Amino acid sequence: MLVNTKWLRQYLQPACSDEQMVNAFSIIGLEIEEHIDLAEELKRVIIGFVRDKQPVSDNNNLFLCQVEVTPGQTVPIACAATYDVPVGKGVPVALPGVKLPTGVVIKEGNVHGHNSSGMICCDGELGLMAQDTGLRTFDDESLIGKSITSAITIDESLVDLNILPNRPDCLGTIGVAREVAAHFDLNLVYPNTELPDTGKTDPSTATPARIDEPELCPRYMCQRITGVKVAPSPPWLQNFLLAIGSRPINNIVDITNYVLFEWGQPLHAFDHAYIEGNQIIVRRMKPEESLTLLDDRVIDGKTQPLVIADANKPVALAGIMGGANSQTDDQSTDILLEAACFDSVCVRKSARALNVSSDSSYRFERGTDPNRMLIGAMKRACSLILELAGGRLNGSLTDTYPTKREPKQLKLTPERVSSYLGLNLDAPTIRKSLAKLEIEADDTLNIHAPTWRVDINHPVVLIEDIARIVGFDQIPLQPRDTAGTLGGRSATDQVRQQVTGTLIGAGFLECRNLPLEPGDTNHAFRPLTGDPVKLQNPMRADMTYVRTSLIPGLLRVIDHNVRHGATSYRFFEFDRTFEQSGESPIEAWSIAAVAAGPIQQAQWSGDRSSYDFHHLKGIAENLLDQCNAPTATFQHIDLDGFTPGATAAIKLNDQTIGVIGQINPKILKSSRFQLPLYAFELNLESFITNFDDVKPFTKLVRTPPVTRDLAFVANASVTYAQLEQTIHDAAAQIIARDAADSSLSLQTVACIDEYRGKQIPSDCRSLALRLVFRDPTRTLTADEVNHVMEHIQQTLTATHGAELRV
Amino acid sequence: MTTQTNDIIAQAVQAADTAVAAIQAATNAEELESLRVAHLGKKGSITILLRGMKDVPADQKGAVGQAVNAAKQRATEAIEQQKKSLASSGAPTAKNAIDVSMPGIRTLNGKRHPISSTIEEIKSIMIGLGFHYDDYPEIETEFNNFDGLNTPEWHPARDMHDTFYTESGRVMRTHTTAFQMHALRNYGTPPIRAITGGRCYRCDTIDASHYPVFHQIDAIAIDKNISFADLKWTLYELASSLFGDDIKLQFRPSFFPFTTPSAEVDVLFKGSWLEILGSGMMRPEVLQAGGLDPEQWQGFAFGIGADRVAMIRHGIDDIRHLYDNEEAFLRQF
Repeated sequence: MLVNTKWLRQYLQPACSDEQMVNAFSIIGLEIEEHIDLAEELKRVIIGFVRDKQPVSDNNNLFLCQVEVTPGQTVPIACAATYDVPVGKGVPVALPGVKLPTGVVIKEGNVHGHNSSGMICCDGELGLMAQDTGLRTFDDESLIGKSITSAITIDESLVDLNILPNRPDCLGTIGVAREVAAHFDLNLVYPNTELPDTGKTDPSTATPARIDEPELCPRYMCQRITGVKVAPSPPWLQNFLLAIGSRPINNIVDITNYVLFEWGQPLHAFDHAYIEGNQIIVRRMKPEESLTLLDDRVIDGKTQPLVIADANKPVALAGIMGGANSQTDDQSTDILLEAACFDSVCVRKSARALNVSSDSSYRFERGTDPNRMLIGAMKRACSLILELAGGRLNGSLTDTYPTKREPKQLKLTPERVSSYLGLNLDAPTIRKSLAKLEIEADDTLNIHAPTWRVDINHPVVLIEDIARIVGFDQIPLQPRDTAGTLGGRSATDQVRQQVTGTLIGAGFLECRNLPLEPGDTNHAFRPLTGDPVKLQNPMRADMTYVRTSLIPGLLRVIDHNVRHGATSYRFFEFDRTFEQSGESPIEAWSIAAVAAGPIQQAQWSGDRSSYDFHHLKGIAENLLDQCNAPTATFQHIDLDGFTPGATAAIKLNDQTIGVIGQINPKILKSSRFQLPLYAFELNLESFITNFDDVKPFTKLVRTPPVTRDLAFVANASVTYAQLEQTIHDAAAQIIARDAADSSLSLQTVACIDEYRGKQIPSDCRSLALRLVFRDPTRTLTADEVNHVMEHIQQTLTATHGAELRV
Repeated sequence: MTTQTNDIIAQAVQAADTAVAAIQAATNAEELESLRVAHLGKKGSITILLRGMKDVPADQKGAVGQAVNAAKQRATEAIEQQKKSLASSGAPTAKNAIDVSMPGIRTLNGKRHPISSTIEEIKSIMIGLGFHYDDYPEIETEFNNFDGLNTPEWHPARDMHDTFYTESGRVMRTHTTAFQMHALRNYGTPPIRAITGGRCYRCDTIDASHYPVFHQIDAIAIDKNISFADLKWTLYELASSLFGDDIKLQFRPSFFPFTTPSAEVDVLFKGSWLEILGSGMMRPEVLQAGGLDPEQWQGFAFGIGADRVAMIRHGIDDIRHLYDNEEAFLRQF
């Protein structure tokens, strides 16, 4: 809400300085969206002298002036007839390119065939409160081309306040002034609401109002005023509206707008001539009815919004906008002024359903006062209309108020306030603080909350008011005086610490991606059990689904980095994937990594190899070990996102807990990326439950191990996993048979070489394995190990046709 | 003094001169060692002078001994001196030295994302203050995200959120504050000190300061007499850990449907006040919705924008950097 500080000062006694006031806003809790320092903003507005002024032939509301804007040089500027621009005097001129404080940017223009190179600005257009005629004039010709700030003193500014939803009472200047007055301990001066005596009226000519929906319209007031003369408003009023970015229309409409900004209470003026049956009914719109609004939009009654109707038809959308069928115009002489209170949810629902909003609906949606502010606004508007548009009150004031809204009664104790704030306050201090906000409290802190404070629904709100008035800075820093609690982190968070640490150690950069996806890769990287989660209202088509896998995000990271010349490709993300399972979504913590290119940067020594499937598998295995899942197995799987034949499902106890493979090159956007890219993703949720189990100690073995290497050629279709299993089984079998009473065992099998190529049939490969035997109780003899090795060799040959190499 | 005596004394001085000159020209430890042997060893040029001692008259033996010892001392000191200067020059003292200035064979380390490290840092500080960290759902019920937090369906405060809804009617959480309902139910009877962090969503077009997702950290503390003073103390502790000991905070009255009194907190950082968090005393309605009796318990809550704190601390000027995940960006932190 735009507020001119000079205007605001009128309501304060004694007044405070501009600077004091602006500084106070944020301390009070009125958030400043923008502070427009007019003395600064108006520096580019200059003084030009009007040398000539001619009517524009085909429009008698327009003049074309010749204005001397630099000594000896005039430019043509069109101006409206609203202000009497005096030939021979200086006026404020904004030349093309200047941005006025109210947001208007001046452009070179063409008005009815005439060039116009600027704008002659009245006070309101400059954001200033009006003086005299509303157009400032200057006699001193030495001011030509100089800034107006050098000729006038500007002691006002514009403040755009962001009034938070709980405080609609501050959506009027009086409400803002009340807060400022409370802060500086000043008096709040309410505007004059005395009605002038316009003679005796006949009570029977009043327009009665009936409320059919008392829940939705707690109070309806209206006053008929007859004999008004609709005309342009006086300069002060027009300029007031211009300064806060509103357009003057005529005196009646301008007064209702002015009072809205002053009291925060919306008003509406009907042309009484169009109110059939001299009657107002507040009711729901009938489905078959229609209403043309002031902005020419036609609404129908399908959603049955609350309307103001006369005897036959709706004449306004209650609390939102008047109807075109009853609006005041230049011809109106008999008006019906409405001030009412509408239910906030009702107005909000109608405004949403019909997609109409206004300054009025904005206030009603947040809540208005059915008592003092409503009555004050009504009287203020009547008084201004009688003063500025003439006429007389016709009939008495109609006031339909079925259920009176009483001030809310609340109870506070100094103990409660002090315990809440951590600051000792006694009852008199609390009373005094509240009184500054016009909140009444007696000695024992029985409190009556004024009805304009719609936010006060609980005593704690009053504690906030007390804190604001006493000052948040008065509350000490005081550590708790309560039972301690043990800080800590969840198991998931511990896993996050450890596995991200492992990947960072392996050279991977952590990413944070947008989890919203186009959906084309929903099933590409992971077999889903449910459906992907889809958004009802995506902001873009390519952000419709919540991700089912972390890999697509990482592929976008690769694309982005290829475009920006990255030097290494190792990224990971630890986050959630989502699936819909019936009504409720499943969120599962996952970790995914992608890698391509050299494992180490090019340097003068060291490893020159590049990432391949098994490098990444090694990293995945490290993570599995870390998560107490070393027994996970890898089995071929086909998924669209991966290259066929180079993809594996990672399984634990027959459950798929992850996927690893080479990314299908077709899926990468950037064709510039030529390296084979590998990725894995582990669904941690499915196996981290035993993560923080305490690991038991295994006694250290001091007897020497016996190491034997075994090299053989086998058909390539026999997997390593099968061979290793056969070896373990064979060892266990022979030991059980021939050395059952010993503690000899085959401890580890490691693959130390794989070879395919010359000297070996094309469908075969040669493997070299290293076997380690041990007995924790004694030193093994060569013979007994040889005996086991022989059996292993025979079994390999028998089972897999393996041919030993010596 | 006999000629003999004078001779030996002169020889001692000369031998020392020769030794010191050679020592000072030595360029490595091996050379120094062989010079030590050549001059101070059993048959060294200085040691050997003592053999002439037998011809020196008894009353002059003292003077000769002194001269030879002085020569020994000069050579020894020169060796020590040269060792030190060789060591401090950075040049190799061994003959077959490797070039230690060749670049190390590095395995490039990865890095944490600045949002993660920011969340982690705040988390660790709060854990130290007795808070327990846990993660809570990103896809929420309307109740947990709004209604339970004193923001019913037609409340104008819902305008402060641009909410994504899923097709099944759930809400992509608009703030981590949604965790309060879970935490109240999970922790049960106070004292409760709980914290969470993570991603939130808003229907927002992308520019330098807006993104459809952002990260928050939210905490609550509940007990019989938790006060606003306690909240202020806690936030000063947190802010001084994050931004330095001489931190200044400013508490401005504000509005959140789930706290009263509510305060926006600004931190004075490099000369300007920056808004970093929202806080306040938990509304009785919220405690009630979470199953606690508000007449018996009270507590504070606060929420921090992690993206914002990360951007302030690192001086990042465009929020999109945080989500582009460019190598050159991520390597910096």
